[in-house]
Parts: sequence; C-alpha cells; structure tokens
Amino acid sequence: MLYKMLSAPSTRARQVPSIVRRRLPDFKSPPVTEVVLSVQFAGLPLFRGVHAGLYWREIRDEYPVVSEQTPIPPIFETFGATPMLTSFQGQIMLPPPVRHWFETPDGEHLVQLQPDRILHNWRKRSPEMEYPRYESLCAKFTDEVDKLATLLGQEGLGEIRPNQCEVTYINTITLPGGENPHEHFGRITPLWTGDLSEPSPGSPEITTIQTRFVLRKDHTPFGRVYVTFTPAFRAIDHKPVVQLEITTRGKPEQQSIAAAFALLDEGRDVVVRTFASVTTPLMHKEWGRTDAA
Amino acid sequence: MPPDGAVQYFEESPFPRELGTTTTGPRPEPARLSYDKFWQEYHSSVERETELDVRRKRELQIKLEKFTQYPVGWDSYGAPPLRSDTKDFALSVLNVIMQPRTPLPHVAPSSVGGLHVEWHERGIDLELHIIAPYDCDVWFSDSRNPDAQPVEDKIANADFAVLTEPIDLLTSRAD
Amino acid sequence: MADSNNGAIPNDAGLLRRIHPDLVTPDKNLGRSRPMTGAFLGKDKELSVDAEPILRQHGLDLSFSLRNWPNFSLARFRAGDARAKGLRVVHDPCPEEQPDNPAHTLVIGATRSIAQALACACEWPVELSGQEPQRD
Repeated sequence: MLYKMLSAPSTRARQVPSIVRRRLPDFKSPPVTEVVLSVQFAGLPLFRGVHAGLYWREIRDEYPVVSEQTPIPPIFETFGATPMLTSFQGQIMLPPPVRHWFETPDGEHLVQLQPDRILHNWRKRSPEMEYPRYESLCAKFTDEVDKLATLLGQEGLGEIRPNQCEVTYINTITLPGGENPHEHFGRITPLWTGDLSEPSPGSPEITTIQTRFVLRKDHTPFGRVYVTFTPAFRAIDHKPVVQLEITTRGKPEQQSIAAAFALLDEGRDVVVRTFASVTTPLMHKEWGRTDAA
Repeated sequence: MPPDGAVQYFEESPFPRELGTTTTGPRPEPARLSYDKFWQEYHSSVERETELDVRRKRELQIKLEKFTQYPVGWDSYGAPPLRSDTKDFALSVLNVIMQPRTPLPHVAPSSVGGLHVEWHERGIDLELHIIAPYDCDVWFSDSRNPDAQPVEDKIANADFAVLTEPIDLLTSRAD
Repeated sequence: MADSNNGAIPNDAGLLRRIHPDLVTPDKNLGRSRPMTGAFLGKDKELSVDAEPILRQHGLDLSFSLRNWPNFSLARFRAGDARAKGLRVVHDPCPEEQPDNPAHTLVIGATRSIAQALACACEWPVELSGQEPQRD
C-alpha cells in the first residue's frame, strides 16, 4: 500500500480521511483540463429513471442541468494469458438503461448516474477555471455517493457494492515558446526519443503513444494504468496541442464504499506519479513543479 | 472555451460525444490498442481469425445476453437469471484466457445467477463457474495425463493465470 | 422434513432431476451429450428431485415430473449412490414451491466434485414411457 489510513474507514463513504502518504509530485499549474472519478458497482436491477429523479432532487440546487446519454458498458480489469484479437463485448438489448447527466450551470462539474455506476467529472470550461485539487473533488464525490447510498436504502433498491474504481486525468499540453508539440514529442515525454536509426524523410508529422502498466498488491495483479498521448488541435484557435490521458482502473479490496474510496485515493496517487514519470523535466519546469525531484 | 469539442482530433471518427466516462470527445478504448488491425494485417506470426470464428463468437455473446433475460425459475427450481454484471465479467474473463484457436466453450446460466463455462474435449475437462464478478470456481482434469490429479480451485481476484495451462492444452492438443 | 433413512426412500429408489435444455453439454470426451455439472448444483447445496417410488405410490408416472416444463428432460440417479457419496436424501413432500408434489425430495450436501460425478454417471435422458429399470 502506498499509505496507511490513520482513521478507521466508516461503513459508508468516509469523511475526509487523515492519511499518511509519501510525498507526491506537485505542480503549481498542472495542465489538467478534466478529472473523472468513477465507481462501478453490481447492477441494481430495480433502479429506474424515477429513482434517478429522486436522486436529482437531492442535488438539483447545485446540479440543475439534466440530460440523458447512452450508458457506459461495464468494464473489468482481468489478467491471464494473451488476449484474443477479437474481443467479446457485451451487447445491450432493449430496453437499455439510461445514463443520467446532472451538471452545474457553468458545466464545470458533472455527476453521471446509471444503474451500475456513478461518476464525478470536473471540466475546465474556461481559462479562468482552476483545477480544484483532488481532495476537494473527492469530498464532493463522497457526498454524492453517500446521497445515492441513502436513497437506495430508503427505496429498498439494494446497496452499492463496488467492483471497479477508476480515476482519469486529462491534460492538454502546449510547448513553451509556442512550438508545434506534434513535431517535438520528445520534449513532452521521455517515452519518445525521436532518435531514428536510419535517416528519415524529415520530422514526424504526428505521433500517438499508448502504453499500459499492471498494478499489483503482493504480486497479485488487481488493476491497470493506461497512458495515451494524442495529438489534437485546440478548437478556439486551432493551436496544436497534445492531450495526455492517464487512467487507473482496478478492483477494490472489498465490495464496500470505503474500500472503493481507498482505491480512488490510491489510483490518484498512481496517476500523479505516472504523470511525472511520463513527462519531461522541461515540462515539469513549465508547470511549476514544487516538490523535490 | 466552448463547452464541447475543446480539442479536435486527427481523423476524428463520428463518435457521439457522450460515449465513455469523459466529456472531451472520442478517445481510444483502453481495453484494446488501436494498432490491433495494423499488426493483424502485417505480422505473419499473428494468427488471423476466420469469419466462422468471428460469427461463432458473436453467437456466444448473443446467447449470454439471452440468459440475462430469463425469468426467475427458468430452471424449474427457482434459479434467477444471469446477472448483467456477471455476464460482462464473464466476457472479460473469456477475453483474457482464450486464444485465437481455443474451441468455444459450452455456456449455461447457473442456479445462483452466475454462468457455467465448460469444455469437454481433447481429453480435457475444464469447468468454470463464474458466480459473480471476481468469484469463480474452477475444476480441471486431463484424462490423457495419467499422472495428473484433478484440480479444483477458487479464483477470488482478477488473476486468471491458473487457467493458462488448461487453455494451452485445450488449444494446442489434437482431437 | 423426514430423513428417509428409515426406508421411506430405499437405496435403489430412482431420483429424478429436471434438466433444462441449456444445461446439456456435448461431452466429446465421453462421445455423447450429458447434463452439465451445474444441473446438479443447487442453491445452498440442496438439490430438489422427485422420488420415483413415491410417485408410483400416488398413482403418478414420470411425466408428472415434467408436467409444467415440456421442453425439459429427466435425469435419474439412485438414492444409494447419493448416500454412498455422503449426501443426505430427505423426503420433503409438497413444499411451498411445489404444493402439488408429494414425491418432492431433497438431496443435501452435493459439492462440485460430487455434482460432476452425478452428471457423468446419471441415466439421461430418462424415457417417460418406460418403467424404472430393475437393478441387478
């Protein structure tokens, strides 16, 4: 474990915990533009749209904007031999459940709810919006999950039994000095050296990198970290950027809300450490790294 | 900054924006690298799947979906239908244990809302009872190996490496 | 429930288990189809069956066991074989789920290994028209 819990976890979502952790990489101005916290749980067969409405009643003051989307299929991290080339994927037969969106008026915060998952998204909707830090997002998400657990108990719909937890950080990266990051990938990430072994017809036009790592406890795999660098253009000014997405996903130690949040905390630590390790000291300086390297 | 489409991607495919957990638009599925098709075409050591294999796999997926729609008592003894999360977990297990030429298993719902997955061929008897996500019973015997004792095990985590050897035998052994 | 070791269900009594079509597997090792192990795994290790002698006592035949389930088949194993594996065979007439079934019986304690043995050794499919075969 990366850290110890100093206070015993409650049976429901805990209060802001007091935890001891190794010092995490820290940045004054990280390029993060979206954070997603997700808890997937055993599907609630009796959960219907009306129950999503009852839940919305508890949060509508803060999240008055409502919409519906197609649901996210369940995903499980499993480990074995070589994966098949053609995946088995679940199909959803009629009638499919709905994923409900509840947004703040400015779109900065979003709660997503479906019968087997609850998520909280923070989005940087304007340059003025600052990343509110994980602890603040986690406290909001704790409250939102608590409200759902309370509603489920009151309505006799079952309980939240988490089976996967996911933390995603999306960063939008530009180069200092305005150079095209698509042509200088090596300045962003040490995963790309750009040192080709034979003369090439010029610099790469675009580069995409995907990699993933296995997370283990006591040598037993329980989750993965996914890292993706994708070239893109910023919509408002067509400036070339690179999007770095880091996702951790894994199985909590127990099917409890407290264990789910413990895994989210751990996942966030992994994301931050991975972010520091897959980006260059040049960019760390640009983002104002404050901890000792 | 506009609320949607803050960045635009190269060769943007017509995904609906709402697909996935994030709201930043289409992104590669983390469960599968985007170069699968590339390597499948150009790597001679990668075994191609036949159209028949693909069709049979789709039939298996459809069968599992059908099990989730069974009524309570489908087995005449009060069994519930296959749970939806158990179905999706079972598919993820099949993804990590099966190889391109592994025969498809026989599948059936279980008396507790789980899934039975069985192979009985080539001297191998391999039975997997997926009771719920991360709760599986395994039974394996090899009648062509006189020294081997049947193996019975419980898999209560995400690691299905214990099935590697039986699946290897099942896949590589002649009829 | 009365434990039938007092003779109500003798060791040579046939015990009938309904088999859903999905629970039949093609066993290429045996060269035939047979019920799956899962067909003999009940909830909480309790397996519901119908005891043939009690069916006959009440003037019922094998088709009674399939009365509400036309697409099912029947598998038969002996009470004595179950007891030899350490299972209890308990007459449980007219339970809440089957109030019209005087022959209902519970076989208690089947583990996965025992269920697998029953699946391979049972007589299946049982012919509805035939009488219960006599044991030598």
